[in-house]
Amino acid sequence: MADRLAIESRFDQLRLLSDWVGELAARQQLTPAVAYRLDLVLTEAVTNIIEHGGGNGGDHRWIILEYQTGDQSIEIEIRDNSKPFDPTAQAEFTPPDSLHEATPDGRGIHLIRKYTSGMHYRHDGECNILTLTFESA
Amino acid sequence: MFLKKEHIEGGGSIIILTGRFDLQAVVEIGDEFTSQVTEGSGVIIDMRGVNFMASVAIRLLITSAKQNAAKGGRMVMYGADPLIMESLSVSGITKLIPLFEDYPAAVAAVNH
Repeated sequence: MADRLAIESRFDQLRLLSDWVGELAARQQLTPAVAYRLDLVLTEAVTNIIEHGGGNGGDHRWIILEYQTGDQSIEIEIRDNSKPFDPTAQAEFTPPDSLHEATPDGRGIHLIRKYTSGMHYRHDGECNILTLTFESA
Repeated sequence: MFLKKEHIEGGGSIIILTGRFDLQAVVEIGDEFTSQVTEGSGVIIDMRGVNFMASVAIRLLITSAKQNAAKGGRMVMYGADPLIMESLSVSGITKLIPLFEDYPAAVAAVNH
């Protein structure tokens, strides 16, 4: 499989992402639990880029994912040329106590925070660069 | 993703979901799901066939459950895979839409 996935910033590209994660999980012999969390986190991160970055049919917007492995971890760098969007700057999500108080949004970034051991964002002047670290063991 | 609706003896309905519950699924079955579960009745979501659940699907569940509750109905879920159960719990959903291990417990709760 490729260590790198390049997709267009459109919602219909998300299944290509999950296929790539499945191949990555098989290649790295990840446990089903780690593979599931990786799939979920990357789906949430890329969905946010498309949703908040003005993608989904926008002008030539792309998203590139690359991974590298450490002893007990996997680091994924997600680079995109959409509008600047810093997920690390978003407010912490507080789960509501009742359905009446519940709002539908805010859980994607919450899941990313919960399931990664590191989340770092920077903008290099042209691209958003989000780096996510997962414990692989 | 596939959606099938069946009626429960004694009242209410069960929505059987099968497949990957992600953005594409929400686009495919979102409107039908909402129309089927927001009549203000008891609704059980059968999660046994769901193998992935993204936050957009959680968003659909919450908005539908709120609409159903506003009309006097109640939504519960059962049979979620442990990894999906974990993400639902992390998201605080199981406090809002109760999740049961098996069908009898879900029926008892929805008809309570």
